Amino acid sequence: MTDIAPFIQQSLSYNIFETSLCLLSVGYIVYLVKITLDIDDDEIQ
Amino acid sequence: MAHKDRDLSPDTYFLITCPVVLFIACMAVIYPDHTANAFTTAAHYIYTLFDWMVLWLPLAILATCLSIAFSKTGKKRLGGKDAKPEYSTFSWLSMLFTAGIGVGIIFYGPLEGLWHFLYSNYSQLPYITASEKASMAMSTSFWLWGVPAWSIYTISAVVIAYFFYFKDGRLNTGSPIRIAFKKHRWCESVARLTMALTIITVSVSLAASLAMAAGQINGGMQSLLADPTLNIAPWILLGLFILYSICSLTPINQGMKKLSDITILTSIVLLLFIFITGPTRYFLMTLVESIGHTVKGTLVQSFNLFIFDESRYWINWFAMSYFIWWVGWTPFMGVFIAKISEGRTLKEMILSSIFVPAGFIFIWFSVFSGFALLDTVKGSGAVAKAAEANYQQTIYALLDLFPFSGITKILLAILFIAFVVTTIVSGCITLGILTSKDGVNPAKPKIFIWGVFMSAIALPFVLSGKIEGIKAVGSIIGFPYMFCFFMTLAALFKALRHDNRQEEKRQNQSTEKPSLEALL
Repeated sequence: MTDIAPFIQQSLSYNIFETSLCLLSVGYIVYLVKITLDIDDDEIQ
Repeated sequence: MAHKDRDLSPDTYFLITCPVVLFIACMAVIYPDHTANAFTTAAHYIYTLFDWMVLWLPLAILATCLSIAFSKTGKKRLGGKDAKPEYSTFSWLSMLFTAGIGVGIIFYGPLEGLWHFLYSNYSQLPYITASEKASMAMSTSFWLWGVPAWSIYTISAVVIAYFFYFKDGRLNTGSPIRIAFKKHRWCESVARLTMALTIITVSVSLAASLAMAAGQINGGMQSLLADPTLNIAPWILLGLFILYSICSLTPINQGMKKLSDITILTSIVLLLFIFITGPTRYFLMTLVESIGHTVKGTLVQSFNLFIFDESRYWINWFAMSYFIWWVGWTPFMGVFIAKISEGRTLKEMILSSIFVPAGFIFIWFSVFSGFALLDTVKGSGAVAKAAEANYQQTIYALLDLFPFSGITKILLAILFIAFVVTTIVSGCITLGILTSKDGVNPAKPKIFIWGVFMSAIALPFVLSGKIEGIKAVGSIIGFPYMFCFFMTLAALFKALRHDNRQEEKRQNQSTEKPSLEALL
């Protein structure tokens, strides 16, 4: 079995929290784009 | 008008935000060292984790501002087609200009260029000459404090103004979200959260200015009394607290606008004094060259994260901390710019509020940072030595190299007091308005309470004197607010898109009409 690269091992061991925060931020921005493009003519007067 | 009625009363916002700021203030007074460390560590963590999201943001916002200014929307007049400007063009421009100047630019004036010259990742590049390092330091100062930075304030003013003048909203940060996303279940909660964070952000960000000013006045006293060990910063903070409390609670606050104008004029006199008695031609050359380098380099700098560099201190504690700090100031600045711009077109508001203050900052940095760099590269190096020994002494060391330094140093210390008092008084009154019962007339006890909180939060950073601490307190609360700021931008894009579609529909209908009439 090939060894996992050391920096990926390091990232797996303690970066779960950081990865989650980054993914949440990306998800938030994508959601903002979605609701911005999702036009309902009656929504804004 | 329905959306107006769903908002919480300002009194309720006080009850929500007061315990949070009280908690921070109590921790700051009881455990000053721990609080300073906690703020610095948290800020460093945030800067490291989110640099990919923040660094390019000001440039993207600048592009957005310019595209709105030069679109059809830019021709819209705030307050309606027939609205007349409340202030003359001169007064309005001087108010925008006033908003761009505060304790910050006097404090950072000579330091900013020096810091980038000494610590920037660009200055660590191999084979870079001192001249190239100095040019890079100046253009970096312009990038961080200039046009992209002012775009952040301006876009916030555009959001608030657009919903206030065209969508019947309120002059606050929650209103755009409440109007644009009213069909979403989370809308009201997010709008309220945005308002609460606005109040907390403004109070904590102002504490950073207070800490900065107390440190600088202490530096001035050290320089004037020739005693580098003198540390009366906590007492200066107490003095400032008494002074701004008196000013904000008594009818003196009516005269604050006049005091602010005098302060600006005095700072311009100081600028002209250095400009004329110093190497004038060099200052002009620095200004021209730095503008050129900034235009050329902004795109590269906005996307350069120095991923593989050993030290990422500079990118975190300069670019990141500043940009988050500017976002933290947006509620305060956005409302101010939107309010004074009634009767102007969006285009006028955008172009003026970006380029007028940024232009002044360019001149200020060309003179103060420019001179500090000249002294470092070709002179005695006294300014750089002072900055490395005690950064709070930098501007006083610079003034020592000019004639009449005894007078200019006293003038500068008075300027720091006047700037911080006017800023904190207007901040306390704004917070008082945002949290008072009727939301119009600030209640005096609340003005006093916000003033106490600000001094309490500033205390540990005055005691520690670390620049990272001041930057951390200035930007830490700005970070959560940044997500609300994104939401307000989304609200603006949605409203603009909606209005453009409506406009297109109207145009299509009007072009169809003649053909129908012709058929009949």
